[in-house]
Amino acid sequence: MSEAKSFFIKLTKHGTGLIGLIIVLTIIAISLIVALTGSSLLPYDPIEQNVGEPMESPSLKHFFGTDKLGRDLFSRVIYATPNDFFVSFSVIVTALIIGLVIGTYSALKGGIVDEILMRIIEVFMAIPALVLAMAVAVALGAGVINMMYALMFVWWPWYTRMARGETLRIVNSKYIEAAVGSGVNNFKIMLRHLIPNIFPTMLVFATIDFGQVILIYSGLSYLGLSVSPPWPDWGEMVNSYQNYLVYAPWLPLFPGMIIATVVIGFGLLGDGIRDALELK
Amino acid sequence: MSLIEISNLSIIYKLGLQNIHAVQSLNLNIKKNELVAVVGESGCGKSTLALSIIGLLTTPPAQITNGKIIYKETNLLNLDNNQFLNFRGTEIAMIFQQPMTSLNPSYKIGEQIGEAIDIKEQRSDSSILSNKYETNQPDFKYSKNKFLFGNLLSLSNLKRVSNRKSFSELYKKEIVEILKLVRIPDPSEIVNRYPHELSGGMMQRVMIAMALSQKPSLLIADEPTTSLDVTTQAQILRLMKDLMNEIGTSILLITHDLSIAAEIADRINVMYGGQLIEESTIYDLFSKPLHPYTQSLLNCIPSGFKGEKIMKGIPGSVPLLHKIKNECQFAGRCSKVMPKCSESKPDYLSISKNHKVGCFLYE
Amino acid sequence: MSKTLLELINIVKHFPIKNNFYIPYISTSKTFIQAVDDVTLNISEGETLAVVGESGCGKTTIARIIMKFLKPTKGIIKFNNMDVSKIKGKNLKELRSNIQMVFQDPDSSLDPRIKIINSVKEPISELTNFSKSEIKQKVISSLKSVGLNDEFLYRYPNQLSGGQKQRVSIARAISLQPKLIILDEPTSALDVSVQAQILELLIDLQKKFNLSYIFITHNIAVAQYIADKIVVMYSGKIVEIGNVNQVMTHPRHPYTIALISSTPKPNPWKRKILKTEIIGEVPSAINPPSGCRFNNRCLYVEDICYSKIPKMIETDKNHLIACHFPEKTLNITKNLD
Repeated sequence: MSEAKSFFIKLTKHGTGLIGLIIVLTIIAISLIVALTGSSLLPYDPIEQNVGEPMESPSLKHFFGTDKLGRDLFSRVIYATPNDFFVSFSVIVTALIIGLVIGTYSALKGGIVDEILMRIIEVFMAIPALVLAMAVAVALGAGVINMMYALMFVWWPWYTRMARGETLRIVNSKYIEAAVGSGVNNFKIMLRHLIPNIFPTMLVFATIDFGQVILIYSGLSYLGLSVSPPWPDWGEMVNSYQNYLVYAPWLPLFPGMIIATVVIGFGLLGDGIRDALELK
Repeated sequence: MSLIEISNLSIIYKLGLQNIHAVQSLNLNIKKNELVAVVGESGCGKSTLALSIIGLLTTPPAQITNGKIIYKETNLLNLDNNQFLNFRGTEIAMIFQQPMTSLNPSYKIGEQIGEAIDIKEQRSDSSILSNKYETNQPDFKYSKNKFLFGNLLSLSNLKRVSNRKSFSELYKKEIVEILKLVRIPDPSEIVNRYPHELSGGMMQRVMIAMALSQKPSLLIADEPTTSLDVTTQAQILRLMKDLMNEIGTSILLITHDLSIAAEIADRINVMYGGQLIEESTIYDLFSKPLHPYTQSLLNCIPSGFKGEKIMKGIPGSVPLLHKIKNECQFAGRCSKVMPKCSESKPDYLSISKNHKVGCFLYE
Repeated sequence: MSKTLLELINIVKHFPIKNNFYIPYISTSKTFIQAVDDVTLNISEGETLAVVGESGCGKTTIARIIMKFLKPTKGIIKFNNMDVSKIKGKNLKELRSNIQMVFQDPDSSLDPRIKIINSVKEPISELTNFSKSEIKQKVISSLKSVGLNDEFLYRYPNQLSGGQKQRVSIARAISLQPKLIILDEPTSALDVSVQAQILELLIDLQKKFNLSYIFITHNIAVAQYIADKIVVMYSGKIVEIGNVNQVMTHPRHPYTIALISSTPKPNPWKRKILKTEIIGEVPSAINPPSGCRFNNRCLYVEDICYSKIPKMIETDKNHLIACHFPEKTLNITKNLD
């Protein structure tokens, strides 16, 4: 128990880790609450029009102001949170699992298996993430779930390559040889020795990477490939409100700032975890 | 008369909230033309001692809290880094355990040796000791660099102009002479090689060549042969001893291996827990070891055949050095411990001419 | 006369150097790293065989071949008189329960994320069918044999000292009561005082459990202290083999003589290494010299040494050297004291 406690203390020692943790926990809380309760706890219905004067600037009644159709921006932004969060979360977790399994096995096995995998990964990585996601999106059609699949397709090579690299650093350690000498088969070596030892580094990477997924996903929804109106989504909001930047800046800025805040929050948390675990 | 005299030297490492007392009130002197060994196990502070003499301790976290190091009437501890450049390399030189990490992998051997020669000769215009060199660095006493010549390489690179001759061209003759001195085969060919093309033994010879290029009065060798094969080690030790006689350098040899000290040292100091606990001529130590730690250490050297003797080892572990306790540091592990050993620290006394020991058995 | 436990017969191991950039793993190269060349040795029950040599001599490769981490390019391995060169599956598992290994670096020998009890029990749980409580008992008894009490069971490696970690590695190796343990420089990374304890522990355990040891070291004084038989290797080949008395008091191969002379002795009145006449360095493993590999450093070299590979010649009973001119070293007596 004291190991977890000391980890937590180290994490919150630096202000930045603490800020990151608070941001991330807030986002998770909001996502869960909205996912469970829908729009009932929100001040206004996110798609209902004319709940206030259209194009109202931020006030106590409407924290983020209203848009052209009189919808409350604050409710829309909050309502969109589970969207971005759960999609990104699923993508990261899937990529992490695929990466850990395939990456460690490839590094352990070596030889021709490893070479082939590396070539496949290089092909994926040669194409910019957004472009590749768009290509998949065109194939699958628009929609939140399809975007999630597209992102999973794009994201797994990075984690695989990282897991492979980390595994290569430890695969020649003597305790791995001792395990082989004790008759442990490859899969058990992966599960018992390799994955637990590379997991902390992968976790830090995944946490910092969270922001990247959100950015790319926002990019996709900015291009209109994700939700269809009138349902709100951060990227989609930046797109539809971008023309108001001069006259009603709150419209594109609040969703944009939320994206930025979440990305930074995960980055800070990842840094904090890395410091707390004392990884190099 | 002494070449270098260390008195009452104390060094601590500040790590977070803790202080590690790496060296405690240490007294040591080295005369001209002698090979002094400092022998101890890991964690005893011998490397810290070596680095402090040549001013290469990283401060912080290290901090010299007390003491003097008098070399030819100068207290080395009072010098700042610029002043120390007059000594490092020219009067006092050092070689380290891993020659691979002491050589810059991006430069040819000839270039690196040439740079060492350039310090004194100053034939190039990128001289650091001339008045042209200005520093905006804060006045810090001890270099942050572990590389003996790391400072020099980085600084001289800043002043490199494209039409300046390289060091290996400027000092071609001297470089080949030095390489011959350390008995490297085919010196004119080695000059054009990179460090990774040489074996460990060759690299250590190059290090010795660089260190002795300016004929320093003192060479500090910190575990110079630990990473080398036994046959290569014998060659290197022999080389060091021969050069010592040819050039008239004194050598301070830091090692954990008592047998190496037995083979080449004139005098030996045994270090434990940041302190010297015994000092004598090499012959006296092996014929009459006084301190129980020394005796146990000698007992731990494998000798003879299977079944002839049993080595007892030393129970317990080395002290952690967080606090200076008022007791003998070895008391908890000593087979000859007495009650007063836990009550106060023994003094470091001369028992006979040239033989000192810090132990209550002899007070 | 105890029976022969392990036999290596004409073992060769060449590592091909990839030279085909475009098609990896299909090597058409004719250059190999000749790590081990024609090694034949055997070890009996309860015996300690020391394999002595400097870097690049092939001693670690031999260990990995015996442990079946590597397949030899040529040659046969026999255990208890059975050919085990190509065994797999259940038979391989049974072999593994009879041969275990202790490594040089105590820091990387134990998984840093796994508690001591789980590290030590790994071979038992993989290679045997004991129940969970039986396994725990065996782990406790193993740790006790190496001088570590129960409190070490649930600790992590980073809470142990180097010597303690090495004891855990030894406990792991003996937990299955193997017949043979390979120790690859087990004390080289430890302080002298800790080394002494570990060596004594190993000697004790050998008596207690009737273990055989293949003890790999570069330190010939340690080899003399612990071995019954010594094999001296140089550049992938065996140059001398015999019982420890023969090899250490009457070494016959010029390399062995040089090795013994070069080893520092704790005796300032008998300084030898400064008079050492050894020259040159270990040859590259990629292009070993033709003929005898020691030819560029040998004091007694003749023309034939550059063209013909020397065969093993018996100089005394069961004392063999690989040299064309064994008579040249007839009158040399060495002493490590």
